[in-house]
Amino acid sequence: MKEDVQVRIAGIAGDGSFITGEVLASLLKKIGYYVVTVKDFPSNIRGLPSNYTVRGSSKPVYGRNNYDDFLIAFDIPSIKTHLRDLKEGSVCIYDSRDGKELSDDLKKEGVFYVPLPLREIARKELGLELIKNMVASGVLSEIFGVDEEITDRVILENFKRKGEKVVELNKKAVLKGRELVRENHGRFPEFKLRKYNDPGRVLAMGNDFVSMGAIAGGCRFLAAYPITPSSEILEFLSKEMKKFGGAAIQAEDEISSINMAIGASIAGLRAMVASSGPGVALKTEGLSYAGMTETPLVIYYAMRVGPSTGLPTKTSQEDLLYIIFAGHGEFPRLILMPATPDELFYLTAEAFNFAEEFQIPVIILTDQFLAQNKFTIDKEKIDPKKVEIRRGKLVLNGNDIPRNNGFLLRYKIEEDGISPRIIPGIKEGVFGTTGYEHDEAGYGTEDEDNRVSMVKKRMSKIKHLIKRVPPPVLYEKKNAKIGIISAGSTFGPIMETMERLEKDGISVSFLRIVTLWPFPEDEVRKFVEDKEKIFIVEQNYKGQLRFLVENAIIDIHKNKIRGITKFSGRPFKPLDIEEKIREELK
Amino acid sequence: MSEILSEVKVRTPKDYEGYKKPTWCPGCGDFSILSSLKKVAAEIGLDPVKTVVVSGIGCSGKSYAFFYANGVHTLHGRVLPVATGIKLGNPELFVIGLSGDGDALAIGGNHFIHTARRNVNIKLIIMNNQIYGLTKGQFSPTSNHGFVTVSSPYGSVEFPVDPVILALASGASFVARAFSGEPNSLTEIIKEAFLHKGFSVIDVLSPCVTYNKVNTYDWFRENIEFLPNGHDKENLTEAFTYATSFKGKIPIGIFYKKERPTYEELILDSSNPCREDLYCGRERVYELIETFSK
Ligand SMILES: Cc1ncc(C[n+]2csc(CCOP(=O)(O)OP(=O)(O)O)c2C)c(N)n1
Ligand code: SF4
Repeated sequence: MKEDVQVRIAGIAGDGSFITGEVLASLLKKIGYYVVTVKDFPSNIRGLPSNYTVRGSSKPVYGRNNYDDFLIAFDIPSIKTHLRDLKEGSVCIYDSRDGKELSDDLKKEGVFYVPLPLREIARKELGLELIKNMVASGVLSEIFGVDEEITDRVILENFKRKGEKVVELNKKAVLKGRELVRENHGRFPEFKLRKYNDPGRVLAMGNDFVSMGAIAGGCRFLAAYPITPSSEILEFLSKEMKKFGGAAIQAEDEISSINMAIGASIAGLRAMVASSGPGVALKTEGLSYAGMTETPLVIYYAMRVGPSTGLPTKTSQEDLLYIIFAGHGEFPRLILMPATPDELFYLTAEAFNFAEEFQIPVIILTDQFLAQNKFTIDKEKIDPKKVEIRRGKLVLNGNDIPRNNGFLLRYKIEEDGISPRIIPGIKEGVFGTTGYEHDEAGYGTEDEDNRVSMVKKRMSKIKHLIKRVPPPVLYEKKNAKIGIISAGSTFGPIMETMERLEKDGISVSFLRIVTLWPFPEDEVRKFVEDKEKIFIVEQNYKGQLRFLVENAIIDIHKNKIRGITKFSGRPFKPLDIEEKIREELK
Repeated sequence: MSEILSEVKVRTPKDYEGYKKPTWCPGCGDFSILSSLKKVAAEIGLDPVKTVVVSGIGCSGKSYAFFYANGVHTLHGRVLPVATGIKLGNPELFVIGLSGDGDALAIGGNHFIHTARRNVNIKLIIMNNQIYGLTKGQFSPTSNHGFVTVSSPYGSVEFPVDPVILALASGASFVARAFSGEPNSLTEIIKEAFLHKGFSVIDVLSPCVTYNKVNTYDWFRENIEFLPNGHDKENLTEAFTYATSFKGKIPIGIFYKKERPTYEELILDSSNPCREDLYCGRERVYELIETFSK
């Protein structure tokens, strides 16, 4: 009985790898497995190579494993591409369309090769070549020992909206796949999965968790311009926001979207924008305006590979330093980096509290891997009732605030740096807001003393903010002399690396940064001081997190630091990290 | 309309005096726009507390401080998206946008088209002086071909955009042009725009006495012509005809006015009370979570 299985489905875009992967993910969830998916798709609709990996495990998993147990290849070139991820005991099922023997360079020792006439069956027996992918799903269902009743249910859920005929055809295709396995008994290795009771876990994309967190957190306005990998936020909220009395808008561009959100926030709504590198670049003028006008704003930033248009559908952590410094001038900001489904949910909800309480822009920083892949989580781990709503110093009656010349002191200087927040249309009184330096009533002035006290007022929020933000999470192993520091989506592979090393008696502790900015200098310094060697794991070339760590620690500790970076656009595998650490320890 | 009227007192233009006294050059066309604005506000009893003046960057943009209402001074070109956000954030607010010609049509050109298309209920006044004032006299998108400025020393090779034609083509539901030197008609037009429900654009020819030595008050007096009284304002074809050629002069008046549903009416579900109570609708979040755990 297997407790951890990883399947990769590969072909060219249009082959249906995507839907096969989605169906498989649902199947695994329904037999009680924790699931994670890794979409690897080109920025193109048809014709280029693409693949979809699904991993199921009896334990929670947040990343892919080192090797695939199964490769379903719809074409021969896909075998070549993914051969390095097969190992002894892996199974490679490929479409035997050409009937030719596989060339030697595609054969790896210990791998079972099973040619199946997937296309042919689909065309001849089902009348639709495209449905070969469902034949493949049938093959896997049979090998894994998934009940027919469960596959039928998943197919119904996935194809219901396309009509009864489509559902029936898909069911038939799955059956064909099952028959293929039964007929060819003996050609497949034993690979029955243990069947658990389905606890009804949530299986959703990172962007879905963020969207749900936003709504639970009281977000009632989104303006966005579609960009991979954040578009699903716009799609999700366009459907749902109206039902909550708010609006989700597809703006004409990113500049408009951030300014609309600023407007909505000035008017009193919890507002958000969602974007990625090129889009956030356009938004920086607005970001700086939000900083100066102290307008609460949540920016969801899903990083992809750059520079420029880079690899739009691939993952990276290349924009850490960029978003810390993006925008002209100095102003406080908060950057949160969730790593798990529950963090995606709660930190998004919480972002709105921080934004309103401190009257600052708050950035939720994720990446393509987290944003667009699916993860499972136990339902009770994301509970909307646990989301608090704290609106900070929102004032609803102008009579409660001092005035100057009849104008309310929206930017009144307070010790904690946080002024009363007034929204237009409240009882009594008006106020001004401007991106120019301004006085307490919100009107432009170039007075030198005023400038100094306004800068101090805004910046003094930071020292109060630091005390409130989520601290790094420490995964401590006893007597560990080695430490890992990282943030965001590298979480899954790091946790697995630690487990593997521990089996060999190497204990490693892990400090996961949740608040990227203000950078948790004290916690990081303490962690580094404690260890003999520190590995900083991140998905960029330069070592941007490393730069931040080195900036925080005392110089004498710098020689302890090693960087483990990956910038291919694909997420880390545990092995990527494990090998580097072992090498270093030799 | 009722939401913008003050319940309390009869108002006078003086009641709309802003936080600061205007800092424009003496003789600047923008003075007249401001005083018409105050007159209209007094006439219709505009409630300052429920009004937001959104302005951009430029000499024109300073006006948010010269008028008694909530003032949001935005970035260069971003009047309309911010105003749209405010309107969606609270549709009960009366939102006035004040832009320069550079602000509205160069850097903000894209927003102009899309706000018109959406028909957001914003009143946009373009303080059009055919030049960049605040940055000291460069040509603007409404400057005439051949116009010599510091940044077009050989004469502008570009041809001007006509805000009226652009507004009509983009779907604005109220489109007018006025002239600063004709305060009576200017006031009337602003008033009608304010009473119209939907995106209202008024292109106001407003001489820059410091940098624009061509398009002066006298020049405009010779070159403008009022639209005839009997003009059918609901007829878009007629509006285009007047806007594109009118006795070889610059036509002044209301070109087009036709109500259609506003963006906020179409996009918001006003029956939902969630605006105040952010906890509201939580059960629905459970339902959403449920759909992912089937
Ligand atoms: C993003 C940005 N670009 C450029 C500027 C500089 N700038 C300030 S005002 C202005 C032009 C103003 O012209 P217009 O909008 O016609 O207004 P006017 O001053 O003539 O009333 C420019 C280019 C700026 N503030 N922001
Ligand atoms: S520079 Fe021109 S537009 Fe600016 S205030 Fe002076 S006259 Fe008016």
